[in-house]
Amino acid sequence: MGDVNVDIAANLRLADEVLERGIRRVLGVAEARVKEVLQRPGSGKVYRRGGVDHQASAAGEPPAEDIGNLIAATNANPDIIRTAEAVEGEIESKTTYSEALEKGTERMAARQFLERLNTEFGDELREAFREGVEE
Amino acid sequence: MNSTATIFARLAAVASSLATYEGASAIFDETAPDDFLIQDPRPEKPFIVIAAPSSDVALETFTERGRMIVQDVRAYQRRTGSAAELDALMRAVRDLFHNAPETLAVAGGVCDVARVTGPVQSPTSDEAYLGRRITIRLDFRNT
Repeated sequence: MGDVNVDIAANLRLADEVLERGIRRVLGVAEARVKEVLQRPGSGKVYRRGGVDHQASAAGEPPAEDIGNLIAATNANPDIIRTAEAVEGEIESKTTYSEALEKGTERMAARQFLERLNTEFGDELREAFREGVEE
Repeated sequence: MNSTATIFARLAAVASSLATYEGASAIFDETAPDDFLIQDPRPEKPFIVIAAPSSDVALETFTERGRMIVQDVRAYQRRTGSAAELDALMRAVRDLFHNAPETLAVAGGVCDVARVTGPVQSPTSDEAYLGRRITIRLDFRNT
């Protein structure tokens, strides 16, 4: 009778590397898409500031681009997060007002931009993951 | 099927814990009105905002049609040095929905699944207020 030897540690490392490739591919696409979303014009109120008109987003739209702070501060976290349950990547938005825009406040309806990765780009992100793990 | 109406109807159970506005419990859709928010002093009791759905997708089989809806409910209260009342309110709101689909009134359908996460901290525009938020997932089936 022959022996069957399985190097479990090596297989787990391989699985981890494959997962990371998929997640990094998703993060690249997701960061590009969320920055595109943040460059959509708004259809809300028009403000004049410093001699320049700015048209804000209306409720339900993503935030309209103003001076580009939100776009610059919204990026893929380069660190892949590993816990006992999962291997995860994340898109972060690091302005003080990112959460208020995404979730809304008592006087402002939400201007979701991160959730749109699920609602608008879910199929594209799943495809990116597949491409990443198969490369 | 109108999930906001379903949520609004169920929130009647906590009406006595809320501030009032124009003679009714302070439960608003999307945002609270300016004349309510800028009262001086700010309203002492909490008020609730039902957000628009963040996701509303088809939930279909060969024989049945429905929607899976994800929607936030947020509550705010004037800062008093303690969030205990606001936290207690939002835990009560969570318990009105979580795993209690049979208690929900749905025009044109029934609710098969109701799951809630939170309450968690929710941002405010006015630092005079504290905010809390729950996220409700509702699976509605047409009847």
